[in-house]
Parts: sequence; C-alpha cells; structure tokens
Amino acid sequence: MDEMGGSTGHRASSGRTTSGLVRLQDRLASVLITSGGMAVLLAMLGICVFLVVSAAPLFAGGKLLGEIARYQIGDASPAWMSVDTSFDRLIALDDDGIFRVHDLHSGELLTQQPALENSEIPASINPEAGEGWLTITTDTGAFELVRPALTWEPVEQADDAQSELTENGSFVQSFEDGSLRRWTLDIERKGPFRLSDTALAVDSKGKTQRERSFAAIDNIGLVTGRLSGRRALGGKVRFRVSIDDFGLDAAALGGIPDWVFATGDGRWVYAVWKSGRITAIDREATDAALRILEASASDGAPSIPITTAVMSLGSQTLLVGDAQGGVAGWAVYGKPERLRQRLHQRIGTSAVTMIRPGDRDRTIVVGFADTSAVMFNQLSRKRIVTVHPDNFAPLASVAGSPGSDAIVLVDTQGTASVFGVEPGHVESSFAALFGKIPYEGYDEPVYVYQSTGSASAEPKYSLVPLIFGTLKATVVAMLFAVPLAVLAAIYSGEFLSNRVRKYVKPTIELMASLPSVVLGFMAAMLVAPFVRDQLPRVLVLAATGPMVVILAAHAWRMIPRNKRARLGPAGQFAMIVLATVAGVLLAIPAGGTVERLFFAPGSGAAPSIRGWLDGDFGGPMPGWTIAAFPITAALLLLIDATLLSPMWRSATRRWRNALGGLGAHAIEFFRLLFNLAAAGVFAYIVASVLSAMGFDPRDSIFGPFSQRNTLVVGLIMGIAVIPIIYTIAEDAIRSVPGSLRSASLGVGATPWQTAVRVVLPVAASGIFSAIMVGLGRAVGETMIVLMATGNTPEMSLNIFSGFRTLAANIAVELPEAPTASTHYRVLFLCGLVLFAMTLVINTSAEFVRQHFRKKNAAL
Amino acid sequence: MNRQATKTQTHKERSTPPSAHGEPAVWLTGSALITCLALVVVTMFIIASNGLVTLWPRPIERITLRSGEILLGLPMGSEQFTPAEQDSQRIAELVAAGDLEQAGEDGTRTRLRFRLGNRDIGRDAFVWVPEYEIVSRDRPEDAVLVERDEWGIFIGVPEAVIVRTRSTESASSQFNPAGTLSTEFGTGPALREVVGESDGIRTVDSAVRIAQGPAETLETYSEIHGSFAKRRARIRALQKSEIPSVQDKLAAIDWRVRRAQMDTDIKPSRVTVPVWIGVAMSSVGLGAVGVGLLRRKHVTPLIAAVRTLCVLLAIAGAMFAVLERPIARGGVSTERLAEVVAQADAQRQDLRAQGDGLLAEIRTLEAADETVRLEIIDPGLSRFAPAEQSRPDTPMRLSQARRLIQSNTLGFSGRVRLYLTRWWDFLSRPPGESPGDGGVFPVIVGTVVLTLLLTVTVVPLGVVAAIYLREYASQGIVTSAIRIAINNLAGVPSIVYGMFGLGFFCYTLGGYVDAGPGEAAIGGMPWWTLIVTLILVFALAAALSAVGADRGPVKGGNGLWSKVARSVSLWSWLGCAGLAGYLIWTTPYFGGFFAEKLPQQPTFGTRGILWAALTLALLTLPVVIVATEEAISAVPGSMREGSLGCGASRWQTIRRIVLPAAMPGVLTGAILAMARGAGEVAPLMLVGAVNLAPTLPVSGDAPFLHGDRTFMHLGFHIYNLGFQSPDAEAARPLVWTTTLLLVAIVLGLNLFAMHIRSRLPSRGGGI
Repeated sequence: MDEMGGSTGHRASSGRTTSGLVRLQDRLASVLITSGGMAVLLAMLGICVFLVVSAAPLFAGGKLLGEIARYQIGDASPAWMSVDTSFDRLIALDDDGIFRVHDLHSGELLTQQPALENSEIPASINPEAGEGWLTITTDTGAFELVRPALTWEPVEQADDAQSELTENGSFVQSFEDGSLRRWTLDIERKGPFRLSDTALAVDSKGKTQRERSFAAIDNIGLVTGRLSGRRALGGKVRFRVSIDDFGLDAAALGGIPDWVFATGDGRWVYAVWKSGRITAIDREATDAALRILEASASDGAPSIPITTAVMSLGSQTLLVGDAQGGVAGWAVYGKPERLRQRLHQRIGTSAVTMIRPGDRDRTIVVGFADTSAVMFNQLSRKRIVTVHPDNFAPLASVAGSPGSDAIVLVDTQGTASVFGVEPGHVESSFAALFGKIPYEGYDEPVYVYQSTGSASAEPKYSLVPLIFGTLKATVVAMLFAVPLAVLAAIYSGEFLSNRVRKYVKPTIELMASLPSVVLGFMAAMLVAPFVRDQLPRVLVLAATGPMVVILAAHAWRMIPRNKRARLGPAGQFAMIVLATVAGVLLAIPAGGTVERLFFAPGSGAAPSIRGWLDGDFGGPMPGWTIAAFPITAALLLLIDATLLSPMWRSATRRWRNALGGLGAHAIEFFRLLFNLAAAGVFAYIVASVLSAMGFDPRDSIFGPFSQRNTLVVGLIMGIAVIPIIYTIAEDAIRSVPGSLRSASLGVGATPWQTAVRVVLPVAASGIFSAIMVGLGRAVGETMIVLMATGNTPEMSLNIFSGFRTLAANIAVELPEAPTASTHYRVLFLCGLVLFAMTLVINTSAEFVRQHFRKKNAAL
Repeated sequence: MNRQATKTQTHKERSTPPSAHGEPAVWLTGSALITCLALVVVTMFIIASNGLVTLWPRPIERITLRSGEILLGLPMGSEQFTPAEQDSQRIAELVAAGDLEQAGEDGTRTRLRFRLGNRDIGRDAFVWVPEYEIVSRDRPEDAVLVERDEWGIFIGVPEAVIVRTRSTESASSQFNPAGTLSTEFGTGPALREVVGESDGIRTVDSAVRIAQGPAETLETYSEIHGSFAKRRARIRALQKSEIPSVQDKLAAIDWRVRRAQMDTDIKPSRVTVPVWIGVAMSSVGLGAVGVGLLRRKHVTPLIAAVRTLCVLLAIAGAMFAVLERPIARGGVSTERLAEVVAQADAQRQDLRAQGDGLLAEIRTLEAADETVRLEIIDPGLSRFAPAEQSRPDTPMRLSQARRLIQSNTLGFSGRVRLYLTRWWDFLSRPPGESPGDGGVFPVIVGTVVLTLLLTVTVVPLGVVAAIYLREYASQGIVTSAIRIAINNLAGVPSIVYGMFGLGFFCYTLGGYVDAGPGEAAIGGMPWWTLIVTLILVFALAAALSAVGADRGPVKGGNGLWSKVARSVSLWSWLGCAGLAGYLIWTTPYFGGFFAEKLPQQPTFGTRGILWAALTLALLTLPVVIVATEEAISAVPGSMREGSLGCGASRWQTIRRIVLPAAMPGVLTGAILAMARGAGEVAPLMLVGAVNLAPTLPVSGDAPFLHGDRTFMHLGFHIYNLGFQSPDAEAARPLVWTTTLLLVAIVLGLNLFAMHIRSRLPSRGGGI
C-alpha cells in the first residue's frame, strides 16, 4: 500500500518535521481513498451478489415453522377437510356426514351443519378441486353434490346467543378492534340423483355451471352420463340425469374398478384398480373398440399397487399414489391421444394413503401410512416440506391451506395437528425454469414463458424461450455486423491514408453513442415498413452488393496500370464508392427478378415472397436454394482458394504467356464467374436433395412474415454494434508494429498479402475481443428489441418472426411485478442469466486478449 | 491503394499473379467501410431532416374531391401504391368514363398524404387521398391553422368574433331581438335572447358579432388576443400550481398529525435531550482536542496516548449520537399531540379559505374568458371549432386559439420567424393534452437534473476509485482482477443495472429511509455489546495502525511484524467500518423519515430521480474510472517524483500535481458519463422515468431538489410518445423533433469529449 512513502519527512535529516495536520490530511486521504476505492469496487460486485440473493429463493424449498397447534376435534374423524382462505378456520366433513367448522388454532367447534339433505351417512366422497363441489354418495344408491361456503356479514352486537346461532349454521366472531362478524356456513346442494339401488362410488365434474359429467361404479360395472341443468320456474336450476347409451359391465372393463373419475371437459372417465391398472374411457368414442384406452408400460404404467387416487386442480389430471410412496399424474393427451404419465415422483418411503389436491395451484398434500405428510408441487416437482407429527394414529385426512402456508393432519382418533409453513416459491424450481414441463393443454412437454396465469392455467416461467430469443437476435445481428465492421476495420487500418482516417474513425465512433432508443424508433418506424415492402430487394442486396464490388475490382484491374496510376488512391476510393452504390442500385431490379423467378405462384398472380413465406403457394425449393447459395459460394471460394489455387495459377501463367496481362485478368474473372455458377448449381442440388427428403425451410429458418421481425432487429442491432467492433478491431490492427509490415513488404509481399498473412494473425486477438465486446453489447440490448419486435416469447428459428429477449422481458414486465413475488424473482433470474452471459463473453474476450498479448509480446 | 503497392508492382509485376494483389478483397473491405459510413450518414440525415422539418410551417391546401367533399389540410408527401380491389373497380369506372388515364405498367397510382387536424369534430389526424380522386387543389389565402392547447391543430376559415354579454333592461321597454351593440371589444350586429324576466327586470343575453369575415376576424384577434392569453396563463397557473400547492400543504398537515400519532406510541428515550446534546458536544470537543494535538511538533508517548484516546472517545461519542434516538423522535406526549392536532386544524382552516379564494378567482377569470368566442369554420364539414367536443354548438373561446397562422400568405421571413417561435414553444412548454402537440420543457428539465445529479455522484466516486487503483493499490493480481471486473461491468447490460436500482436503491435503501429497519433489528444480541465490540475493534485497528505505521524514518518498516500489523490493521479497519454500518443500519431507534405515509404513499421507497441518478452513476462508473485512470497514468512519473522530492506528502502530490494534470481526462470521463446517462433509457424505465410527471424535480419550495419525485426523460419520452401513446401516428412528427434534440445533446457531449481528449497529453511519459 505504501511504497511511495506518504508522510515524507516524518523526521527529516534537517530536523524539520512535517506538520501534524499535513500528516493527518495525508492519512485521512489515504484512508478515504482506499476505502472509497474499495467501496466502489465492492458496490460493483454487489450488483452480482444482489441479483443472486434476489433470485436464489426461487430454488429454495419451503420452511417448516413447526407444529403450531394440536387439539382434539371430536370423536368422528373427517373424511374430507379444507382450510378457509383466511387461515383460521377448518371445515371438515366428518364420517357421520356433518360439516363441522373449527377454529384452526384452538380447535374450538364453531358451528356444524349436516352435509346431505336427509342427514344421511356418506359412503364415498369425491372432491372437485378448485370448484369446491363434493360428490357424495350414500348407501341407498343415490348421490348428491354439496358445496360448503363460509360467508360473513358485520353485526352490531354479539347479543346473547352464540349457541343458539350455531343451530342454523352461523357463529359470531369478535376482532381485536372490537368489530363483530357473523359467519354463516351455507351448504349448497344439488340432487340427490338416484342411479341404482346398490351402493355406488360416483365422481362428477363440471364443464360449465349448468353441465356436469359423472361416472359411477356399482356392482355390475360402470355407468357414465351427464347432469344438465335447466332453469325452472322461480329461477332455481334443476338438474336432470341422462345416462350414456353405452354401459360397461365388469366383463368389458376386466373387473370392477376401485376408483372412477370424470374429467372436467366431460369427455374422459378414468378407472383405476388397486392392482395398478389404469384405463381411460372415451365417452365420445363412436366405435366401442376405441372406447377404452389402457395405460401401457411404455407410457410409464407401474406394476405397483395403487393405494389412492384423486383428480388434480383443473380436473384434467388423475393423481395416483402407490404403495411405495410414489405419486404419479396421468392424463390423456398428445398425438396420438394416449393415456400418458405426466409426472412420477417418489416422494415418501411408505405407502401413500391420501392425496389432497390444492384449490388454487398445483400444490398437493400427500399423506403416508407412516403418518407423515408432504407438501409437493406437481409442476416444479418441488417437495416443499415434510411433516411428521409425533404420537399420531394413522391419518384420516390431510389438507393444506390455499396459500400453502399451513398443513393440517387429522388422525383416526380425531387428533388434529397444524403445521405452519413458509412455502417460498412453490412454482419455481430448476426443472420448471429451464426444463420442459408437461403443462395441461399442451400435447407434449414444452418450454413456455407466460407470466400471467389463472387457477386452471398457471403462470409458466420457462426461461428457455427468452434465452433462445436473446441468442437468435444476437446471432442475426452479429452475422450482419461482424463482416461489415471487421472488413471496414481492415480497410481503414491498412489501406486508408491517415488524412482520411482522421475523419472516418470519429465519424463511425460517433455512431456508438447514438442512444439505442433512437435506433429502436427508427427500426420500428422506417426499417420495418421498408423491409416489409422491399423484402426481395433487401435480401438480394446481400448478394448483389459484394458481387458488383468484386466484379468492379476485376474490371479495375483490367484498366492499364498507367491510367490507374493517374487516378491515384482517391480515384480508386471513388471507384469503390461507385461500385458500392451500383451494387445497391442493382438490387432494385434484381430483387424483382428473383421474386418473379422463384416466388411466382404460377397462376398469373403477382409474385410475392411474403405469400410464399406464409405458405400460400410454392414448394420448398426456392427457399433452400437461396439459403444454400451463400454457404455453397463460401465453401467453393474457400476450396478454390486453397486446393485449386495451384491449378489456376498455372493456367494464369499460361494465358499470360499467350495473351499478356489482360489474359491473366480474364482468367481470374472467369475463375470468379465459374465459382459463382458452380455455387449456384450446388445450391440447387442441395436444395433438391433437401426438398426430396421432405424438409421445408418454412418450418425452420423461414416462416410467416411479421413486420417486426428478427431480420429488422438484426439489421438495427448490427448498426448499433458495428461502431464498437470497428473501433476496437481498428485499434488492434493499427497497433501491429510497423516493422512487421515493412519486413513483409520488403520481402516482396503485396499489401494485401501483408494484411492477410502478417497483420491479421497478429491482430486476431484484438479483433476477437472486439467481436466479443460487440456480442456482449448485442446480448443486453434492450430498447431496440423492445421497440422493433412484437415481444412474443416464441421459439422458432424463423428469421421473419418476432421473439422476446431476456432484457426486453425485464423491461416489459418488471414495472408490473409485485415485489418479492415469484414473478419478480423470475425476472431477477432473467437479469442474472443475462449478467452471467455477458460475464462469460467479456471474460473470455479478456482472457483471449491477455493470452495473445503475452504471445505477441515478443513482437 | 498506397505507394508501397505501386512500388512493389514495378519490380515484381511479372511474377506476382493478380490474385496476390487481392484487389477484389481490398475492394470488399473498402466497400464495407463505405457501407458503415453510409449507415452513419444516412441515419444522421434521416434524424436531422425529419426532426428539422416537423415545425416548418406548411401551406394549407384545399382539395376538392370527385365526391364533392372539400378537405383543408397540410400536404405531407406522396407515395405510389397498388390499389386494392374495390379501388380498382372505381379506377376502372373512371377510366371507362374517360376521366382518368390508364395506369402505368405496374398498375400503381399516386396518393397524397394530408394532415387534417380538427379531430374534435371527427376528422382523422392524417388521411391518404388517391390522386385520381382529386378534382382541384389550391391554397386559399384566408385559410388559417389554429394552434390550440387541446385536441391539436384546427384548420379552417376564420368567420367571426362574437362577444357574449348578459345585460338587464326594464321589462316595460320593447324587446329588440336584433340590433347593433357596442362592447368593450368593439361594435357590431347583435342577436339578443331573453333568458329571464322577474320584478320588471328583463335579463337578456346578447351575441355581438364584433368582427365578420376572415380579414376582420384576424385583425380583431390580433388586437385583443394578448389580454386573453394573459388571463388564460393566470388561470393555468392557478389550476396547475397554486391550487395543487395548497392541496399539498393540506396533505402535509395530515401527514404531520399522523406522524405525531405514531410517535405517541414510542416510549421516550432513556437519554434525555441535555445528555444527548452533552455527549454530542463533548465528542466534538474531544475530536477538536485530538486534531489540535496533531499539530504538536514533538510527540511524546503521553501526548500520543492522549491523542488516540481523544479520537477514540470522539468517535464513540459520535456513534452514540448517531445510534441513539435523535431528539426529534423522543416520543410525543398526549398533550403535545393535542396541541399538534389543534394547530393542524387551524392551519387547515386557513388553507381551505385560501383555496376557496383561489377557486373564486378562477371562476371570475373564466367567466370573463367565456365572453369572447372565435368562429373558425371547417369548410368541408361546415362546422366551426367547438369550445369542447361535448358542446358542438358553441364556438371555441378566443383564448383557446393560441395562435392563428395564415400559412398561405406568410412570406419566407414570416415562415422563418414562425419556425423559430415554434422551436421556442417546443422547448419551453409542457407537453400538450394530446400526444401530437405541446413541448418538452419538463422533459428537458428532468433530463438535465438527472444528468447533473448523476455527474455529481459519479465523478467523485470514479476519480477516487481511479486514484486508488493508480496511486494507492499495489499493482498485482488484485488490481488486475479489479480491472477485469471493471471491464466486465462496463459490458453488463444497462437493464441489469436498472433491476439492481429498482431492487436495491428503490426498495431496499429507499424503504429503509422511509421506514427504518422495522422489525429486522439485531437478533438476540444485546445491542450494547455490539457497540462495545465496535469500540474494541476500533481500538485494536488504531493501535495496530500506529504500530505498523509509526516506526522508523520511512513510514512503516518492511519487517515482517510491520507487514502483519499493517494487514491486520487494514482488516480491522474494514471490520470496523462494516460493523459500524451494520449498527447504523439496524439501530432500533430509527423509525424512518417518512413512515407516516406508509404504506399508501412511499416517499423514497419507490421510484424517483435520486435513485435513477444513482443507478446511472453506477452504470457510468466504469467509463469515468477508465478515463481518469488513463489520464492519471499519462502524468509523467517525473512530476510525481519531483513533488515528493521537494517534500510534499503523497496527498499533496496527488492534489496539486497529479489531479490538475489529469483534469482533462477526468472531464472527458464526466462528459462521456453525462452523454451515456442522457441517452440511456432501459434502466430509467424501471427506476423512475414516467410518461407524465405531475411536478418538476426542482422547485422553489425547500428542499428545492426533490429526489423522491418521478421525472420525465427525453429518451423515455421518445419511447413513450412513439410506442405507448394512444395516437402514435399524430405524435410521430414530434417524436422526430424530440429525437433530434436528444441526438444533438448526446452527440454534442460526445464531440466535446472527443475534443478534450484530443488535447490530452499523449500517453508515454510513463511512471
């Protein structure tokens, strides 16, 4: 720290001493500057730490707060129960057929009401998660739909009669601020509906308010049908039972199933046997042979005995628990439709005895034979907490609170145990954020980003589409920017006179400071409509530009040397300008020609490349040809320059001997034309092969055209990064020692050979790091992407479609995300991923630069 | 091609094949450079031309269509288009009727774009008119363009100025429904209407046409417009600033009462105010004694010990003063609360009376404003510009027309004058009600304040960090790691800084300022043990520094003991600072400065200009550090050695020799940071830029600079106006102007930085 000696003449030889104040100042400055410097650097590293800290809770499990209450809730044990939303009441349907409301913390019985109209005893209960309906069957062969609901109204005075009020299902609760509320337990009922004289197990699920489907098993077999409601006189809805015209008896089913469930859409009925067999019955199948879909081993069917089954939230997925502690999710989906396994996870060690699906999200509570229970999320596969109450009889019922902040367990002796939970972010896990998830409503596991959700369509937070969008935009931008910037840097570093360079470089650098919001605005307002209107011309420009320039260069070489010399470097520069302009101008007619040749629908209608992209007409050929041409051309030129070069050289020599200098140029010219023609032919061949194999580019790199697309963003983002790449690459080229150039020229190399074989290899590390810096900039660019794309998080390679990048996603969604919610943290994770990407890019650039600097140090 | 090439050719022509010259490749590279340059030039040209042309007064054209419809509009250019199917039929009919020539080979037709205005009477802002539908185009001299504050421009023909008055007369006199009346503004024919009659008095409303026809109307307008504009300005000032100010004061009173109520819950401090003041004063005194002792030339061990003790006690006292509850939060007694409430009630009454007075003034002024009306007629729709869209039968008030422009009779100098006036309006006025008009004054103020705040923050930090890196830190693995970190952070996307700003500055730091540490105070530890630990660590650090530093003629020996002592002391100091920060952060006595407004109205715990400036400061820190470091390293080592050799201390050397020499570099860094800050948008979207800020971040009320307020920013304004506004089409011309302004500012700053940099002493002096 102190190699320079801060308090200089502390006690100098002359005997004079430095004033204490000066020393204090020096000391203070040293402390302040050191701590200030350190603080600045720490603050910058703090960003990384803050991002990590903000995103980390996404991956953490839940926290168990311990058993917060234990009490006896009565002699009867509940067959089903639910925790009220405000987390202080427990509604239990006991096996004597009575709904009882208890205070969750004390266990005090607040009120009770019989579940069924005639106070019958239920035989089986099937809940409909999320909707609150319970399908309850009785021993008399009827079933009834029941929905308990707690409502409240403010009251003035508690009066006398809490016990009296309990009679009609209400109770009064006082709050700390002295206000009173009267809570009422209302039971909504539909039915009873009579199907048979014997005992039944029935499940019913609602499609709409007025239409429900049901499935029932009795001792003969399976009965399915629907309940349809009609508004009767007096506004009351009456339901009528209609039974499907097919019946499945035990023989057809292969035995009486132990559980049966109807799906919410009314089409499927799932039948489950304790042996482990699961089938799906298609109620809409017209052919009896196709009616029953059997779960097969290839779809993950287990041979383990099934111990419990229930329908998940949304009434699409069947959840089964097995004897080994595993939980599996089953549903009919995919193409072709089959009964497939969505989920299989072993989450406990003993047999699963019950599964209680969540009413708000896909978090379930699973009870086990060893009296433990696990809170588990179906989508993130995250085991949130495990609870294991001491001294507990076998579980009778389990329930989680709607916000996943409590688990209630009741044993067969009526002992209730309440556990508090801090659930954390149940929907996010590494698998959910980066993996394919089998969401309901999709044919296969997918990467989806969709941050708004509802009870049945949960928010989907896969970052993969965003990362894909980021990379797609970056790659297209770099494809455009890197060649232009690096070639420009070579010219201005090697061939441009200092006088001109002095003006050229700052002009391009000025462009680097152009705010990206301006570029984004121009992209959306000017470039996007321009590209839409002039698409063939813009695409063709990529070929005509370089071609015209190259041809012009050949033509220039054919001018006799003395005439060229008269024009001088300025003349040559002017010629290059002219050639470039000509290349651009040529694109105008050439674009139309290409469109007419390749993209005409044939029936005399106007040729339209956008029509072809939309798939209105035409085959895959033109697209493949155009996509293959640049690749074959580059390959052929490369092969030509390396393998065939000696052949051409001898040919050149022969022609020069025969015809003089002009002949040599003619052969060069011919060589170029030959290469291009060959490239065209090869491209055609490649295209034919690919087309014959049945590939269509419109499924991958091309596709329907949307105005704000990847190409536009690539062009504008390219413009944004060109100056950065250019400046750094140019500096790298200029910093190559002049002695190397002199030596190379001295031994007879041409300036071009010097540039390519001597200067470029030395400057390569600098150029690489220039490209990496540009890449880093493109990855994080926000405004251009935000303004020039539709910001749809889709994953397609199509360069004419929109996308959404990580940065744009943050900009769009962060202002609306509630602090510390899952969404907020997912956005911080986006930021962290972005940070990590740029970190890797920049560090590798730095690393390469350091490495090559050492290597080149000898020069 | 340069000279060398020609030289090589002269000798080696024969054996050099043409491919060796790589002419096509060289041309390609040249062409790439030209393309890059062209991109720059074209971009700048587009921005400049679009931005400059927007405010230029265009002529008003009257277009008569084949359908007989008449449009008055500003021509905005033309384009070729391919007619749609129904248009093709129409064209075919016209061609068949011989009214139209056959189209060219490609079947395209010309169409013209007009800006129409008059949106409040149902016109589109812009229309495309196919050329073949136009019968005639001309530029009527009496057409005017009306600039208004609401609903954008209106184009029409001025028809009349009407004064509406109410008068009373005796009911017995004969009622004269028409006649000539004179008003304070002029005399003209009147239409009179009886609106009430009672007690023999008749109340009559008269509409007096004091000007009739375009010329007269314009003349009258220019005569009397001034006083109306003044009155309008007064009304606006009342509505926009004076009444809100009264409302703000009322709200502040409510908050004060709430604060007092909250503070009654707090137990009074155990430390009485005199004790607190005593401790604070004595720590200041001890500090002064300690500093005074430093001036002693001969230091005996006793003096050194006393000195250290003084400083220690001073710092302990200061910690106590900071951590102990500040005087203002010493709990509020119920009597005091009653007093506060009573006082608040009195103030409220005063303010309400004041507010009523202002409202009455507005009513009076508006009544006067209502009297004079201006009739400007859209000849196509034969409707006049209404006062409000909901009152189509009432002509606009004269004061609603900010300016009447008779575009077609304006000479060139008039146009130039108008153009400049419009630029001035654009720069000095707030945004209008509709996105297409108004100015950017608050936007510029927001941008400037933000940029200045950012510069004030980032420059000291950056310079300190650069000095540390160049002059203090030993050059080794640590510094090169730090340099890599800085390089990396320069490449971190700006949106990530925005997230950090939102999460850390706004929510964490701002939340702390608002509400204090809340429940999250020190865990189970007795609080005083931490202070004791702090003092012990501090003493250790001080002692070790003394041991490590004050030995031998050269500061700090190179012995092992000194080295260990120095490094331990450094860590102790760091620990000390960390512990002190933690203590301050978790002090249970700090209840936040603005807790009374929570949770409805966070003050600093939300987005605001201060946090935006800090975020951008962090973002631009690498720029300043790199520029300053470069400049410092360019200061020749000989200058430093000379200074040190003359006996200056290190700090003196830095302050008097190094920093002045490096000043241009620091300035360059600052300007580059400003340019970056002015042009950055993405992070601002997250930390405080808004579409329409109700107030400026600076004002005449204390504390003058309001760090908690949201603000408007040029870059965000472009994004917002061009993409988020309901009528993006109408807003586009102004977006171009705003873009030009932003680009001019950013590029100007960059050019300035380049200019300064070019005058920097070239590197190579070395150390």
